[in-house]
Amino acid sequence: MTPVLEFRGLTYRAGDFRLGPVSLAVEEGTVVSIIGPNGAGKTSLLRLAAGLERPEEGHVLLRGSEADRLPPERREIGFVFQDLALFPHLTAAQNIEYGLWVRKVPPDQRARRVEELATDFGLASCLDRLPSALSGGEMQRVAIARALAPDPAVLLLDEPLHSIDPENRRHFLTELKRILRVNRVTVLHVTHDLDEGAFLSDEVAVLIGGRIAQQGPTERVLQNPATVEVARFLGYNAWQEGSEWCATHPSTFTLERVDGDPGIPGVVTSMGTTMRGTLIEVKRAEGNETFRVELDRHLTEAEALSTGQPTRLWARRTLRFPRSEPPSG
Amino acid sequence: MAERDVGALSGTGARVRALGRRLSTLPSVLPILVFLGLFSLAPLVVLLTYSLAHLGGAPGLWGVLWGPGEAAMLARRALANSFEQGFLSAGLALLWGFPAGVYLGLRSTPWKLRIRGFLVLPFLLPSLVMVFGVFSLFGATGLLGGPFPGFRPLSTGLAGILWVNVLYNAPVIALYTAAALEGVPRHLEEAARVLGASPVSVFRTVWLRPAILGAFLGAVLTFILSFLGFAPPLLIGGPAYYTLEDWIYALDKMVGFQGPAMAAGIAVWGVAIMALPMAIYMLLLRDTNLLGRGPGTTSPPLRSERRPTLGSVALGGITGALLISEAALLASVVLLSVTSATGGFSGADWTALGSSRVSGALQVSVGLTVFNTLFFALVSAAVVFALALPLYSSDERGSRWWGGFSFLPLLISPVILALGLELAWGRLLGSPSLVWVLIVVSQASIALPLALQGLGLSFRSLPPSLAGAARTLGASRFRAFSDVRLPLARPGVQAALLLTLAVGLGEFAATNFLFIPRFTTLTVMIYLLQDLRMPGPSLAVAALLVLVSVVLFGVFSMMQRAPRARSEVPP
Repeated sequence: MTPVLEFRGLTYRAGDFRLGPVSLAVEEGTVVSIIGPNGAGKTSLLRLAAGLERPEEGHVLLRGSEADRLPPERREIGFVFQDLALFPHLTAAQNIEYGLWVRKVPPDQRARRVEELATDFGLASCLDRLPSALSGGEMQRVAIARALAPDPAVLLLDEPLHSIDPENRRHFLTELKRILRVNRVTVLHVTHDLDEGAFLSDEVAVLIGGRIAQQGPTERVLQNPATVEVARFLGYNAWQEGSEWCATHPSTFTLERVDGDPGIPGVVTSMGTTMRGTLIEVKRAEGNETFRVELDRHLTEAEALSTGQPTRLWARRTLRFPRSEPPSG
Repeated sequence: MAERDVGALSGTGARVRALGRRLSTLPSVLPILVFLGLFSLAPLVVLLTYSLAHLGGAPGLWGVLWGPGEAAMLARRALANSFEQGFLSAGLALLWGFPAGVYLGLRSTPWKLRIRGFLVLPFLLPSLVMVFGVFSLFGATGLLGGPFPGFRPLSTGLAGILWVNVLYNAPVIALYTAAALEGVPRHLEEAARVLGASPVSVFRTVWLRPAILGAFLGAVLTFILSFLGFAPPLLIGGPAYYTLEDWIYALDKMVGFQGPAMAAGIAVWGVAIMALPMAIYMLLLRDTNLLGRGPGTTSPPLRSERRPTLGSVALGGITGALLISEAALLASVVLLSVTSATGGFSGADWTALGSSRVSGALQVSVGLTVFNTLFFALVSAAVVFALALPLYSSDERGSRWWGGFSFLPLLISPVILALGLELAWGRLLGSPSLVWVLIVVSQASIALPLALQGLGLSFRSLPPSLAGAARTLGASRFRAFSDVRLPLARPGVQAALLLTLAVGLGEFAATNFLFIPRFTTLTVMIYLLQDLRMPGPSLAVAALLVLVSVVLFGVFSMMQRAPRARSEVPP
């Protein structure tokens, strides 16, 4: 099947920053998340897809056709910008309607579509308000409804939950996922938030330093980072052992002895209690690495640790990479 | 998702694409570049070649200013006058404008917006009117100078010139200083206070640097405008106080002498000398955050005081004195124009404007003069906007690169511009029926950098993502501009339009150089009537300009305050 959106050997340069070459395809009805640290080139990639930037080399294909020469308005792409870019002089309804208006859609159809989206996104009560009178969550929903109104072939989401507080973010994330699923929207989504990317997407691509370091089904990438770089970005602790790099996710460390394994000796440098359990930082005795340990339970009095106390960690699962992999971070 | 290997394009291809990207913005900037090439660059080149050809090459060009002859000595005196008036005006305006700017920038005062608006008013008027303000206030028949002869020296010589220059420019320094202070995040002061800094330390640490930068920027502009002063030395000082501008004008009018060639030579020197202060001004403008704050941005909360301190009372007093001086100057023009010799009300000066004596002397009716003034102002504003707006409809980065050239006319003073235009285009467009084209071009050239500054300030304050959002929603580049960017930049566009109209209405130096009787404007009329020893009608025209500017300003203020009409998406 022809992908809805495809990058072929795409490169882009802005000052000292260089993106690519990037090759990536987004199939019909799937949600692909590009995750990566700040400055990795995620937003640039979306802007290239939308035609707001031009690639240095390579091509953007829409439904199999080269779109390099197509201006943004003819690409049938919906874009939710990081700052939302709601038109401050138009009401919520007028913002949503704008894409239909410029396409000369008849007024009755426009009104129907706005009503439909307002119902879907719970915006019926605020359609007459200017963006300045909307809450952060409402603005977010208006921006997504506006991008979806013209029924784009692909929706580009640039950190769409960037300005929502954590409580509303969880709620909105589930809502967004439901809407995208129900409408079978094809989405290319970028974020530096691993949870957001993992929750929304069918597939992820990890973009580090302008290059895609790994891509594939979400579960597989999260569980099996292909390089130590990706592992580090995904929050794994990484350290050298002989001719290899080792990586362990903080949640796979344990303080409980594993038979036949001497464990990793270290010293507790800090610890604290979180809603999910206990967070401990341990400085490895042989080396400079500090490990982050996430226990999914609170420690008992007998297990209590204090700063400066020697301890041992056992890893339930350790990934190993050849030493040729350059260290980072 | 399959990773695919794609052959990279050659390096040449990439370079061609990069060039293509830059050239893609060319159509939107081409009109402005052509305009500047024809009406700024070409006159400069013609001035240089003309002076070289008629003065005997480079030695002659050198000698016109630095040679041993009497003409060169007079030119050097004009240059010295320019420097003297430039430095003294900048220094005095700085002394008055800086404290007022600090007060306006840091204190919350009642009627703050109106005070700021009023401060701009003199800048919208021609300096010629300010000259009449000094005459009307301090002159022998003035409101203060009449009953109190001790004031009269303030309306003559260097003192009179400085009064005009300082009152014209001190408000600009105050506004630049205030704008620079308002650009500083208020929480920096709070952070300093929490860290234990005293009010004096807070001022030194947080406010002083931006305030000095803003004030210095205004002072450089004051220096430039005073160095290039034309009307004040011409009318108040006389030949002994002529600046380079006046001297170029005087030389060009000398027939049968090498006047025009010498004028061209001195004009070339004038441009060369002004290059440095102009470059400093442009660099400061770029480095201060004045351009980073658009009209759409909200001002930070200001401090209002329950118990004013001694410092703020002093600053407020200085600001009040500035406002009162300006109001007195402008009001005296209007008052004196309706006051009879005995002190009672008289409309004689105004009625004389319609008399055959005046129209006969000027060879033009007052009605036609008013028409000319409005016509030139409106057409030059239309030209400026037709050139400037496309610049902001295109890709921001590309247009900014090209747009840098648009400030070229700043280098060229009005008289030098007029001389260059006359030499470059006089034969082609100098026939009596086409002189108006040169006048419009000169007014547009003078207003263009000011309009671009205002428009750039406004458009750059808009998040670039807004236009991007409109494009991805299906709007063409033009639609994205007309539906989104233009309505949002409306306050800045209106301000730029007002400024452009004000420049057109008040332009004197270049128009006076180029005009023929049928294309007389109000400012030229003021000067001619004064020259013809008809001070009454001359004062009435100056008063008319004050009133027109006040009305224009009032309309503008109302437009800015009026709630935005909600744009309807449906057609």
